[in-house]
Amino acid sequence: MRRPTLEAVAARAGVSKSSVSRVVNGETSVTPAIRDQVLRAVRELGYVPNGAARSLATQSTDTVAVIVSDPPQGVVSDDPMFSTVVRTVSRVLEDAGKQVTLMLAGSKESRARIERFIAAGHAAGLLLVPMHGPDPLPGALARMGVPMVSFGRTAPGVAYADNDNVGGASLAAGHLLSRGRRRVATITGPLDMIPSQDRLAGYRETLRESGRRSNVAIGDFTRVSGAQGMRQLLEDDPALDAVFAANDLMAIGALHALREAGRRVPDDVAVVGFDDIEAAMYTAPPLTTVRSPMGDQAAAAARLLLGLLDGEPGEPVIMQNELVVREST
Amino acid sequence: MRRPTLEAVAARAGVSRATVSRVVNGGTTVTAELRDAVMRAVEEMGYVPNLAARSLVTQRTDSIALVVSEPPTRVFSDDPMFSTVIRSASAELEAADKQVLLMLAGTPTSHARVERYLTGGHVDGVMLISMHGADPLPAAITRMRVPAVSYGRPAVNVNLPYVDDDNVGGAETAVRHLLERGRRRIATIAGPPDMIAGQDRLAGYRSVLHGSDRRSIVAIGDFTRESGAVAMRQLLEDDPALDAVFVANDLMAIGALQALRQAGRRVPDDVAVVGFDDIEAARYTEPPLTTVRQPFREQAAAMVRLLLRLLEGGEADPVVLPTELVVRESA
Repeated sequence: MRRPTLEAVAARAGVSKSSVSRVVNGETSVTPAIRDQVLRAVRELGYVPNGAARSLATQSTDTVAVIVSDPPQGVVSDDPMFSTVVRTVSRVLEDAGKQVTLMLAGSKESRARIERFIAAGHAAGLLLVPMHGPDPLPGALARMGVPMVSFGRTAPGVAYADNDNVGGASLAAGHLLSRGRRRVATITGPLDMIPSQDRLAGYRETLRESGRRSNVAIGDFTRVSGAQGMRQLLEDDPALDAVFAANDLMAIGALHALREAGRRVPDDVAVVGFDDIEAAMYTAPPLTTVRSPMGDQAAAAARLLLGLLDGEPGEPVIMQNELVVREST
Repeated sequence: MRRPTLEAVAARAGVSRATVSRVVNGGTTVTAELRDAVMRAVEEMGYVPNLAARSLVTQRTDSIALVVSEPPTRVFSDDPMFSTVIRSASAELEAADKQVLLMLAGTPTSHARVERYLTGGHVDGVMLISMHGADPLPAAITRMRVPAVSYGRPAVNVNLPYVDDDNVGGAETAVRHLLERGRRRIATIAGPPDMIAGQDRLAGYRSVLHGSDRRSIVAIGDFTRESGAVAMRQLLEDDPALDAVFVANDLMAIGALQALRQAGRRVPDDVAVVGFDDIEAARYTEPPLTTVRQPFREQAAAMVRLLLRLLEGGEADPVVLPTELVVRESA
């Protein structure tokens, strides 16, 4: 397909080349009548202005890369965090006139590709959404000197918006103890992720303060790992009477495993999750959980990045969590 | 900040300009040793190759826009389709060495911005996920002469190649399954009437019931869990003797299960439930959900193949993938 030229559009519209150019480049120094004529000709001819030529002329970029440090395909494929965070940051950034490039860093090749893209100066800023670790990417990108913000704390020196993971986990464990539970276990997220470490620390501290023993199974934030973790905990300590799962998806898996093992929730075993995703209202029984302000945290991360791009300092933002008591405890 | 030039990199690396250019442009006719020397110099000096200039020469951007157009009211639902489809499509595009530009188009302002961007020559092609019938974007995109494909059959009659699953056939299979299990009063919770998947799944339900002389009992939801719960309560009020419900997606089925639990109905003993999609959550409901599996990932992969064919100047016919009934405990 041969693309029509600027000249052809000018001829069809009966105006000068420079008028077409001004209209196409969004300048306002053109009368509405001429503007309409030009746009009609553009539509009729299917004219496509050359964006590459334009960005060569301006050398400026409004592009922000949203980099999701994704586990290999399929592991947390339908994690609601992805859609909430990606949608929220995209909306905030687009509202500020930025163009969002989504990049998934699931493999070594894709990480190398991202590093090349950023090193080549294609993005004015970076918003990083780490979903698993250990991840060499934040450190590598931080060295490139492009303004960068992380959703959740990550490599040292990278600005971030996070929620109070330690405090949230303490709320959860404290709630279970206050309900008279004595053998409180936990299912953690992947321990190479900072939120997982923090939630485990909050759980441990709270149990230690009340003289209770920790009982830990390690999951990876997926439902299936929550079910496996729960089965293992029941084997290790058949007398356990409560479990704190470090996210709601794993709590959903744990509820499933408890049902299969014939344990009633909350009568035999109380369950608390973390995040308060929408699904938590629909479990049987509905899930008590720690509400992390995922959407607000994502919006805060995007605003932090916009601030950095305007030359403001990138002070970390930490948001508070709250306990939402439903029927599983 | 002054950007270092190609010449400066060549001098630092002790090689010719042509060598630097070949390395930076991914040419393979350079020894590993020279390549390392050049890359070291590039890194040390923070050299930025001018891709805009390159794409001026090649007339290609190697970027694909992934446009998600959804009504503003659904923006915050956490439906798993969004992440599954976007992730699968992105992975496939990256494997084909394309850059993915994600654009959300929920409001008239963002529509205008998307149109400006797509006509601006910034991308080689467009993948459109349009979620409602009143959406002007599919028609607008076909007028732009940019190669474009749609995830799902467009709700309006436009010439846009698409990839979809067999929504009518899937719904028919679900309802026949309920009939075979001896259910007599089979209701449905349909999706929004302005979405093709909603229309087609309702049509499949009606056609099977029609053939069996049974009465249709229909409530309308909007594909969210909450709407499934509301619709289920309404159905129980309209026809307390119903003994089965076909729900047009799994999220609404999850809501329906909760409403049935609250109403004291046992599943499947009193009421059998079949969903649609087979999202991961369907395996974890109480009881685990019988549903119609929609091949999200295969659809996303097929959509990418379709677009790549268009980019190479080939023809692109619509692709419709089969669905499959997954029988668990709810029916």
